[in-house]
Amino acid sequence: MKIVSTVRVSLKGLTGNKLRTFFMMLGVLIGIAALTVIISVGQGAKVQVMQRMEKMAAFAAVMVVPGGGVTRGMGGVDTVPATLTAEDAQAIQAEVPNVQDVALVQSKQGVAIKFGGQSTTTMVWGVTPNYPAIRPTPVARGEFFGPEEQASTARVAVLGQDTAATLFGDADPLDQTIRIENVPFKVIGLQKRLGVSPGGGNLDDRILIPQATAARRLFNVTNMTQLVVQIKGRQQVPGAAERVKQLLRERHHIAAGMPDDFSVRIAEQMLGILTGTSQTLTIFLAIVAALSLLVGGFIVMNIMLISVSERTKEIGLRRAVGARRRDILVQFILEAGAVTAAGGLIGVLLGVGGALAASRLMGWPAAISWPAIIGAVVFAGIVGLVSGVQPARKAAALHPVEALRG
Amino acid sequence: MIRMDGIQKTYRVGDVEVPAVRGISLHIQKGEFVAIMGPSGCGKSTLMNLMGCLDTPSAGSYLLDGQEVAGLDDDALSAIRNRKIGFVFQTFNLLPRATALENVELPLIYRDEGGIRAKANAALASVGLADRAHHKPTELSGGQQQRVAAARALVTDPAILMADEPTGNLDTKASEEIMALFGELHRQGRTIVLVTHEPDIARHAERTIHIKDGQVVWESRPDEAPATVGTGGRP
Repeated sequence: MKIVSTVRVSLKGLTGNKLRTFFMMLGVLIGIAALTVIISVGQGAKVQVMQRMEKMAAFAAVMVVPGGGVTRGMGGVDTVPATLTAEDAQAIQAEVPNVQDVALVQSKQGVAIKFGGQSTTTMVWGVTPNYPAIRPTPVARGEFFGPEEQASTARVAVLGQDTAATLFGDADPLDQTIRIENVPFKVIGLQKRLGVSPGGGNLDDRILIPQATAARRLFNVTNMTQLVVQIKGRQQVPGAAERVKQLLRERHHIAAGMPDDFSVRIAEQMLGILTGTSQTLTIFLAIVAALSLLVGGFIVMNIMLISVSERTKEIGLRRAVGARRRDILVQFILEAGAVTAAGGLIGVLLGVGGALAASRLMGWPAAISWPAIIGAVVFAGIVGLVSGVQPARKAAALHPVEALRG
Repeated sequence: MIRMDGIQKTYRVGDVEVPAVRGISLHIQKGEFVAIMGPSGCGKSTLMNLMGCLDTPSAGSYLLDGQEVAGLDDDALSAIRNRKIGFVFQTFNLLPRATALENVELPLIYRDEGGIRAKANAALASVGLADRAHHKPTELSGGQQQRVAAARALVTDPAILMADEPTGNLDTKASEEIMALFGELHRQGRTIVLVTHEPDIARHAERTIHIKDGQVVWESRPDEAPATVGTGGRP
């Protein structure tokens, strides 16, 4: 029996009972679609984290933030413990070996901004002029403030792209005067689009001003929300982090056995945690989807078994006109295989569509990982063939005389 | 064409051996039209299954078209059914979702041969159903369905046509049509074996073999008075 006619016979068997075929397909389809979405979204999350990691790994730095424990995102000068000061930064610079530079950050969320009739709230970052050298903060237009502006507590600002768009629309923000909590500031620079920070914040919706200006003219505080310590080489980062920790414990008079009132973070650590979490979640969801695919396989097997007993007479007839056991076996395996393959294919299409729709509508990252998807389809094919084998063997084992009796 | 010697078939039901065919010997010539008659349970269906290579005898020798088939394996028997035998069943056994033409093509797809469609069309035309090729069985009358089944049996140009109660599900008129078709095929030189329990149907055959309790009890020809040929008591 030729393979072409075998396939035709199998397809005929499937199109004969469309509803049954549809339900067989559905089980596999749902499993594969779910797997595709999960793999794509999981892969997308990983890619995003990797991109952030690359962004961060380009420089060697240790971040010190006030408060113990792991806090995510950035607090404001008004919400964090006031334990971290400019003197701490000076001490680190002076006493910890391999420290290149220390930038100060004083930030505050929900600050009221006005320009003409437009008003909004955003995050204001008071940073020392050395900040862009440690955490790349390129400007698209205009310029970043320098030591002079810091020394004179100049009222100058660099805007993130989103903030600028909110306040100015398509108009040019450079040299315009905005009001930050009613204090006038001149816009001197427009930051390049930076995207999302490792902590998940939007780096394009913020205003950067000199740290001294922020401390004296705006926030009227002396505590820092972050110290960014630049280290001379990436190999020195872990050692330096440990020294920073010891020094600050001493300076803050923390007794042995008591917890830190600050946290020292290394970029790689944070990203490691993020990657690990998303990976665990992806694996868990993939297992759930694989189980649903397995259930789909059982559905295929069950319906094939029913199909075999319903079509006993057909099998008898085929045997009577010359079909060998092998022909019957191949026919039913091909039927199961075709159903799962079709279900798998439609599932992949729906899954890819679903992943793309999810990334567009909900802002999830999605990366279509074709090797993983092909793996899922191959898995579905194996599930289908295995599900088809038992019913097919049952069909092939029927004695022609008894099968003809029905 | 068919030569059976001491053919036996015994079924095992639990621990009990039930003999269905008990040493039948018979000879059917090429081109003969033979009816096998007997009451239900006499073993004529079993004999038919053995003759049609759907089943294997427990003992005895069976020469079909010069070939010993008694000891052949399943694949070889499948090939013989495909090449040498055409079946017509009481319940037609057409695939309900396939067209008449596709039903007739069925035996040919189990061969490695081309020209399937042309052969199937020719077979349908030979039973006078060329214009019904694309009808589903449900769209055909009982007589037409049985003629499609006959076309399916003939499409492989088999050595023997085997019909098991072919008129059992048909009304009188359709029965006459089918028997007329068999008569025509016989005149064309086909070897036909017909199993029936209806004397009116058996009368179309040249020779009738009467079976009882798994044995041949006597033979008759329609133009002869049965009593004069009998070898045993009449049923």
